[in-house]
Amino acid sequence: MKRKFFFKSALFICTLFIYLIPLSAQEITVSGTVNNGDDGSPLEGVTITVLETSKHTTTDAKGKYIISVPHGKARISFSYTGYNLQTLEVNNRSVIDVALVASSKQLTDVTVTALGITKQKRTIGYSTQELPKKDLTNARDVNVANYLTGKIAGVQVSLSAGGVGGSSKVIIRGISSLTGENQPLYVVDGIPLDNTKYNEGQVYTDGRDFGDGISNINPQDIESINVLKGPNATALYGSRGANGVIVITTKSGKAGKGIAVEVNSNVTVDKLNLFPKLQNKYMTGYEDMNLYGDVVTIDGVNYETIPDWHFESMGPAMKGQLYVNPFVFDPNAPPTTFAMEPQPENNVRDFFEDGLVTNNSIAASGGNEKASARLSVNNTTIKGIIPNHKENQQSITLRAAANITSKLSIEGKINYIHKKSDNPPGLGVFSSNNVVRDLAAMGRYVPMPFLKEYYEKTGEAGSWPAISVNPYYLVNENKNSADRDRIIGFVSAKYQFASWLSLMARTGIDQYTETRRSRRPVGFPDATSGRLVDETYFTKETNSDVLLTATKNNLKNLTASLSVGAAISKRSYRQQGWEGLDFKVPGIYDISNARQVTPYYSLVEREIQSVYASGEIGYKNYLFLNITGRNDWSSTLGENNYSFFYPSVGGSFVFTDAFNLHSKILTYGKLRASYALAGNDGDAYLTQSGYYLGTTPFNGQSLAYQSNTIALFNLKNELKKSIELGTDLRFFGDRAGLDVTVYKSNTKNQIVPISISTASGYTTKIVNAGNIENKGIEIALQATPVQLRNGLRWDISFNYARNYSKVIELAPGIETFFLNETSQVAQIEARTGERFGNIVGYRYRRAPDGQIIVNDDGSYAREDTLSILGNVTPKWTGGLNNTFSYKGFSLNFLIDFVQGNQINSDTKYRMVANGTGKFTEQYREHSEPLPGVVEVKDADGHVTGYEPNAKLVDGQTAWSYRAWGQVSEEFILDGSFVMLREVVLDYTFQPTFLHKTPFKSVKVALVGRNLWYIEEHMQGLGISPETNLNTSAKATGVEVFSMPTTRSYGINLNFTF
Amino acid sequence: MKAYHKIKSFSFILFALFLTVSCTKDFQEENTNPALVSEELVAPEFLLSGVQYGIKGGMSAADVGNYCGMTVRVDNAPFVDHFDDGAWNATYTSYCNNLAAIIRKTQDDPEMVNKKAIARIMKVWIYSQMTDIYGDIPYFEANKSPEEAIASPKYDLQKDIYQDFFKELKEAAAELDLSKASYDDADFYYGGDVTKWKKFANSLRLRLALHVRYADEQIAKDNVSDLSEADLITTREDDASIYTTDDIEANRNPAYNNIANGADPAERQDYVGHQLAGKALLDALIGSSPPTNPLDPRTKVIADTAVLNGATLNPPHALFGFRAQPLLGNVPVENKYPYGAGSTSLFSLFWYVPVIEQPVLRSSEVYFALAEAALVGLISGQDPNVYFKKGIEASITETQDLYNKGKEMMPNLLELVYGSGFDVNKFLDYKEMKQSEIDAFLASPVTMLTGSKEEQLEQIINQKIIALYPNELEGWTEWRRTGYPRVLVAENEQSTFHGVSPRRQHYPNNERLVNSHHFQEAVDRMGGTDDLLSRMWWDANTNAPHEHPGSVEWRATPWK
Repeated sequence: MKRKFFFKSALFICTLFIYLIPLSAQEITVSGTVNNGDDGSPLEGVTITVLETSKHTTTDAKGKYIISVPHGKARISFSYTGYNLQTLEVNNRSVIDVALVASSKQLTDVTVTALGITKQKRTIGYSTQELPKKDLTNARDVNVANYLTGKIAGVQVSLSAGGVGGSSKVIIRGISSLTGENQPLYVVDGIPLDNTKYNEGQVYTDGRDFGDGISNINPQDIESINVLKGPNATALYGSRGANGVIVITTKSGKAGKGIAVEVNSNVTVDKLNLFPKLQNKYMTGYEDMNLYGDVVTIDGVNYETIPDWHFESMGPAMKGQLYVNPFVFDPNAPPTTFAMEPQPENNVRDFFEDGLVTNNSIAASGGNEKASARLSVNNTTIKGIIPNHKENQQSITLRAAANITSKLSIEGKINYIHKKSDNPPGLGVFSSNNVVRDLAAMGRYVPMPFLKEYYEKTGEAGSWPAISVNPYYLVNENKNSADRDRIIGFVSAKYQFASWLSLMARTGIDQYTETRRSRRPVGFPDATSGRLVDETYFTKETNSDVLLTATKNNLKNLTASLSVGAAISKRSYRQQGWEGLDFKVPGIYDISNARQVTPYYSLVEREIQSVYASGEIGYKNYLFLNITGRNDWSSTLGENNYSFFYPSVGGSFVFTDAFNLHSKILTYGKLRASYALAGNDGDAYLTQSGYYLGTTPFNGQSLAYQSNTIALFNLKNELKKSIELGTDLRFFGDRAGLDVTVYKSNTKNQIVPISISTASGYTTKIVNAGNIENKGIEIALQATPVQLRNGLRWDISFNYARNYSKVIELAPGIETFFLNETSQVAQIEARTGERFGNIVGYRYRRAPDGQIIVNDDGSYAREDTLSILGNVTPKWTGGLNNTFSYKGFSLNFLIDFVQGNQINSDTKYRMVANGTGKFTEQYREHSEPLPGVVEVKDADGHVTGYEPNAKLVDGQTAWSYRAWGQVSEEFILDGSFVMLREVVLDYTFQPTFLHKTPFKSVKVALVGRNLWYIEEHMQGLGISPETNLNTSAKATGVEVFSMPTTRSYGINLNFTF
Repeated sequence: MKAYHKIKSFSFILFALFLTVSCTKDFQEENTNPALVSEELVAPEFLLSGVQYGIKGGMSAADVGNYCGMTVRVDNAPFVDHFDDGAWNATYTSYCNNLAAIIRKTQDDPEMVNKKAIARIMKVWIYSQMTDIYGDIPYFEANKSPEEAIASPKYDLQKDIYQDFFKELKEAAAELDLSKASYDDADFYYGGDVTKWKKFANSLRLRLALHVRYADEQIAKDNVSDLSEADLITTREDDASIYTTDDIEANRNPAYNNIANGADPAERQDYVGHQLAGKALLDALIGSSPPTNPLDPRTKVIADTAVLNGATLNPPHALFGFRAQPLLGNVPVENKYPYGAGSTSLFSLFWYVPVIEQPVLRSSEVYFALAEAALVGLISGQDPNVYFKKGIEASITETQDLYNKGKEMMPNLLELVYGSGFDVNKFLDYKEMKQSEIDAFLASPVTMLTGSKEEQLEQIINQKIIALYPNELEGWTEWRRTGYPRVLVAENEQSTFHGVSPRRQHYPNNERLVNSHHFQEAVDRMGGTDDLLSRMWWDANTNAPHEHPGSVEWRATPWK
């Protein structure tokens, strides 16, 4: 290594000497190769600009370039995404080879835009933000989407309720569609990725999170992630890009010296962070004392039984009182006594285990001028924090490219993924499958070791008061698994007619089969006769497109390019399976054992055909105009409305170049503006009504039922209009940068299933209506405050985004649209004229001085009318990232912020209602009155004043009544938080150290994730402010016994040879 | 410029190529839900079966609540303020939507006249249950085709709805034609028997005429006077009923499923213990004071003695005396069972067999209706006593059937609930209604109408309640219009009902949100609040004896 380096340097110096001899021509031609400074591999697509003439070119696949520069004092710059800009004096050299150094900055010069077109950042009229390259190097989260947390302005990533291995919810610039998809489109190597989630958790129904589509992508394969935020950036991805696009480019083989092998290994331990804080003082029962149990005589002494209908822990304090022991193996054995004692403080918390995630990848890449390839293999294992939850994913990716002739090149990728998930946690508030609900609501006198022993000895759940189901039985016998086989791939061919004209054709496929199996033993609460479900989801998406691109740079002062393309996208989702109920023989999980079998099948197919064009004109490399237009034909729309067109226009003005304002302080300044429309189609099958046939006959007769939805025959597309303005400034060379964007978007003509009077005969009517407005500002700031000669460097980046979502209009005659219609706590709604996502419920009734009014029975009163209690969308989000590097060391810590949102907590509701929360230890046993006032009334019942409340109450009146009486205010929590999201300490071994080893590079990183809520307002309840029930818009801000969040600690080892 | 020309022509070619390749002609097929059957293709048979299977014998107790004291739920809340809106939603979005679709489909086809007429009769039967629960309801604007559906239909006056019921029933009965095709096996009630459907339409008209007799005697008279016994359901064969089947869980008697799904006998006994035989029903069977008459033999088939699982299998019937009292709101359990939870009579296991009759409208009810009509002069020249006795006899036959059908399934059931040590034969022998017991009962004064007209009416309704069981909605209706049976209700401090049973049900909450204008119109007609104690149009009997044992004062409508 060292020798090679020396040789290269010598050659370079010689070259310099030779070309120091002045030449006399007016213009000279400079050529050379641009390499990656890290590993010497050639870099393709590096932009070389002659600063004097603004003439520019890019390097080819071998990193080679040729450009003509004026004779004399000329400078050329080399810019490339993710690398430091390098500017050199030509000094009459004709060969200039350059090694670019990877930068950790976000404000780089070129970026991958729609359709995979690499553009100089200066030319585009909208905001994009790239994930810093170094954040990709250490695989630290199983789900790639979670990499974005806190790093990109305006992008909010929420954890799923299912914990590690679950889906991620990504929202860019706020929620804009009432019922449609609000998540961005993921595009991998130019091909849209299917990110469908099947059967996620709902409030009332059973659901499980088996992971989203993006979680299948091996982080180690990723070269770059770029976020295109608004429709302005995404008009060319069509309707699916209306909520933003996350453009992922995977690594490809590089022409270079032999075969490079990269190994990455990652081990992460997940430790339970927050779990609801439970009281440890009061037993099951009601009104502090009444058990209403039967009396049983043991050895001549009468003892009370604990009735099995007890679910609330509102009984007396546990002081060793003796009851008839319910925790026995044999109910017919002579009765024994049970002493009511507090159980160990963490008995329930200790149910959870440490999670473990391992992620190992090996990749080999190589190539020559003709062909290159990269092969990678990955294995990820997850052991969840609840017993029996485990997942395993393997992925193999082969990506290859070849130059068939000088004009024709082809490229292809195939990625096979196999994922096996066993028993991810069940979700939802009333689901008997949700073990967290089970644990958090369970009576506090229950001896957990007995439950464990009972299950282990008998294999049965057993039945005891104040337990919905034995949690050990639940996680061991209620089994749910999924097996996913997925193939993602593409082939593309590019024909270069001339240096300025090329045609690309590409077809991609993303196809997976997921087989799920769910079984409930006989006697399980929600399937007492036994239940078995076998089902298979077939998901297939094909995308084919052609793109003709012409560029012209050799016009006087002008550059121009035009791309014209067409695409066909087909998606199909097929679900088939059966449900078997009523087992003949308990314990046999085969469909032949079910007396009642319901087969089911569903098929959704959809297709979009598109033509589009994108043009750019540049003037003197400082003024650019971009225009796009796209027409889609979508199969899901009404017969006469298949077709919809949407254009965009954008401009960019590099004023520092135009007015020659370059100074030491302001190095670069750009203003940008754009206006865009983006269409969005609806779900399939919204255009017809009809009848469903019942699946099981009765007395041999078939049954039919009318569909409950009134279809909209003339369904039209949604349309999102968006305008954005922004600036991109750089100071002190490249030491500091500021990017500011303001935007406003209106999503109109939304496809909304509105609730109508069921007396119409139907529950739902599809309408095209509404207008939701999102306004906001995004600021990204980055700087290198310290950069010393000794190598010490401090990089800081900060992003901030504020978004305000407002409902301008809903359907005619409809004032409000409920996003979650089923919460026990409050409703989340979109109401005309109000902020989107208001939480609406009942407040405490208060005296004029703000004190809560107490009812005659000593409980708190609530108002009779609904009030706005909060909003589920944050006022602002942001992140602060600091990196200190010195020699090979680098210390990085990321803090992210979510501020000004409220959460609708069903967990707290249950903790209040059941009296399991730690905070319910107060006001028990008629010990003190609730703080507040009582109304003083005159003879006519008019309130004449207030006096302090003195009524002593029992725990049930103090607490349960708040839940039963629906005092929503009590259960609305402030979801704001500041979190130390990530701390990474890594060390890159110096080349001098490695030269005698076979390794080219070795890097070790210690990684901590989700470490510490620096600030949160969850009232010490032990609930995380971060989780969501599922990834849909309507679940935002709904917290329903989510899996407890974890802290992760890991080590990452990366080496190449 | 040549280059640009090239680009232009290229893009043109590309575009042209795309247009030729692409076409949207497959779109309609792609966007067609394969599971959806169009209205043209769906058979009336499927739609009717769907309705009858869904509604079975009528709105269940869970839909309407138990307001007349037939059953008492052990969960301490017999009078729940807000029931789920299952009955409302199922009626509108499923049952009546299906029936309206049949009527639309068969409208213009003379060959389909029976299918149409039966759908019209069914529709009246289902809507009548709805209006009897709520009062004014959307009727004329409800259940249109998807194209013509009215998203927020207006609420019609109950009187107008009832007038339409009578018109529909008369027209439909007249339409029925023996020479035309019918539903055959798709009709679970009558196998498509047109003659029986005609009797059903007339018997339903009789039922509904009695409903309205306190509000408008003339309407009642008009609809009873043209009916003779021969037009009505008067035999067991004519009874409209649907039987559950034992093939799959969903088709079985739900009460059986509750037991069968219990983990062990203790849990199953627990389920059985959750439905207590109500005081109103047991009082009707036994009499409210210590009985001197021979035991009504139906009692032991319908209910179990309080200590069945203890020693006494052949007890004096006084043991049925500890009856559950329906109480309002959340009250301590000891108030509810003064003698302890274990002291209460339960419904017998004959109600828990997997295959059970779910009655829609039976001859026993018709006879009691005729008895009342004769008593109050809606029909003339008939002896109410004869009808009264026929009603009791019909009810005894029905109860006999309950015993006979249940007998075969009882050994399994008893083992499920009480384990293997139970003496099945002794149990069945005790439960069997011996002919001597029946004869003795029929000879007792209980089966003879005596006293004032009002006292005779009370006798009729008390017997009718027994015959109607488990039709709790109809029982509630009888209580509302006549004041019988005398239901014991008690007051507690949280009660908003002031010690009286509700007279109607709240409208579904969703109506307040999505049909607010028409909802408010209907509520305004009741005096401004969607009150449980408001009286609907036919609930107009000012002389009903509201001095129940709980001593409750009379309150006028609207409730204030």
